[in-house]
Amino acid sequence: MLACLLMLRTPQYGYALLEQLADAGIPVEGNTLYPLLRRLESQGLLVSEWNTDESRPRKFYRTSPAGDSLATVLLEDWKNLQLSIDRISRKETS
Amino acid sequence: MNAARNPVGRPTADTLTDRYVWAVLKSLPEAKRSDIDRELRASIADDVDARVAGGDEPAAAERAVLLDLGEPMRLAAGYAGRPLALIGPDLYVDYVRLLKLLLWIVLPIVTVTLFVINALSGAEPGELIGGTVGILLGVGVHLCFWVTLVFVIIERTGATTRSGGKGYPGSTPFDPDELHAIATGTTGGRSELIASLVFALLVPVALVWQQNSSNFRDADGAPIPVINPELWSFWLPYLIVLAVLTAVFAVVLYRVGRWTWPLVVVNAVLTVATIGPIAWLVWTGAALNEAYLDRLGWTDFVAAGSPSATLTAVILVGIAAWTIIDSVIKTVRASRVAEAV
Repeated sequence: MLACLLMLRTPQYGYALLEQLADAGIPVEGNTLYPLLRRLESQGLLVSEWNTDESRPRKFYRTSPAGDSLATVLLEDWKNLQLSIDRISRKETS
Repeated sequence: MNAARNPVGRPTADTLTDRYVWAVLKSLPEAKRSDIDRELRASIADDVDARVAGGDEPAAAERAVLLDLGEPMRLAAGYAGRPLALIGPDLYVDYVRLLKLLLWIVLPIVTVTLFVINALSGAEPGELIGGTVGILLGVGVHLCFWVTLVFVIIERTGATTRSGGKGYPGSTPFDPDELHAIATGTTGGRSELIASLVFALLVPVALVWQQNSSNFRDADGAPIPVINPELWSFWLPYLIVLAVLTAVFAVVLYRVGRWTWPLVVVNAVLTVATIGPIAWLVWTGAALNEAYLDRLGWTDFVAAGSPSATLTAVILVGIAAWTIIDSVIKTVRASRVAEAV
């Protein structure tokens, strides 16, 4: 979810995001990601718009300001957790 | 691709994708359908295109994409935010707790009531037990079903008020005080419970039995009951109800596992409400059937205010007093144990 919020700082549509995440080493199933995107949208963390310029209309999602600030908080938590785990693993090995 | 649909999203074409998308959409609210329909189709098409570009057959690619997306109901549940469990982890503990409590309270009451009704209608013992077991099973199944149904409804409708796994508003928070005491000897535990339940069952059965069978018969051959039959107008049903309440209390006491002050108060009320009237009836000589006593030749022996009637009443009051004092002692002891821990 954090990865979604971070990646969608540049607008993207469902299937392309799936590929991007997989390339970034976070493989997600479509049946998890698609409902997740809609849920984040309904929570106001993402905004979406239909792009009908191409032959296949696609729904593009973009991280909203609220989603952006949540992502910052979550990222901070994540880093703290990582630091804690690092400290523990260093103590274990030394 | 979007042209071949009517307004509710039911496809008119019938490719595998159409079937899949419809299987997902049909359980979703109509307002959400068209948007999810368009997006899901685009996602599937993108995936199919990617696989075809990778050298797959279009038909095989479509199959593979749908297989990856998985069970349509699961995907629909994801879109709708519906839980994929009848009763989720937030409610499970409350569900089990309530179900156990209800079964413990209702089944004994039903058992006693059935025995009384069946015995009144003069059923044979075999019939009595068989009928009771059958109805108990029915009641148990009904109880489980309706409780489960209510919880499922709460689970579905309350799903949006979930607050970070802390439970629903109004759900019982865990309280360490409710943990069952482990063999601190403050209550007699299971054996005391069973004794109370059996006693509660025997009271109505014995009352009904003595009404319908007696070693003395009157001129018409009808049995002469030991207990004053006029008491059926109020006092005997009242005592049967109290016996059932006492049984319920015994279950509650067993569940709590130790005496607490509220339990002491309830116990005192029940004891006074039960033994008070009995002692009064004995003392005033209204408890037993005069016709029966005449046959025995005991009429004067148990008449109002006679020494034996007074003595019995005093003993009954003594038992009541001891029951209450005993519960107070146990409560004090239990709270000391709690303080020491």
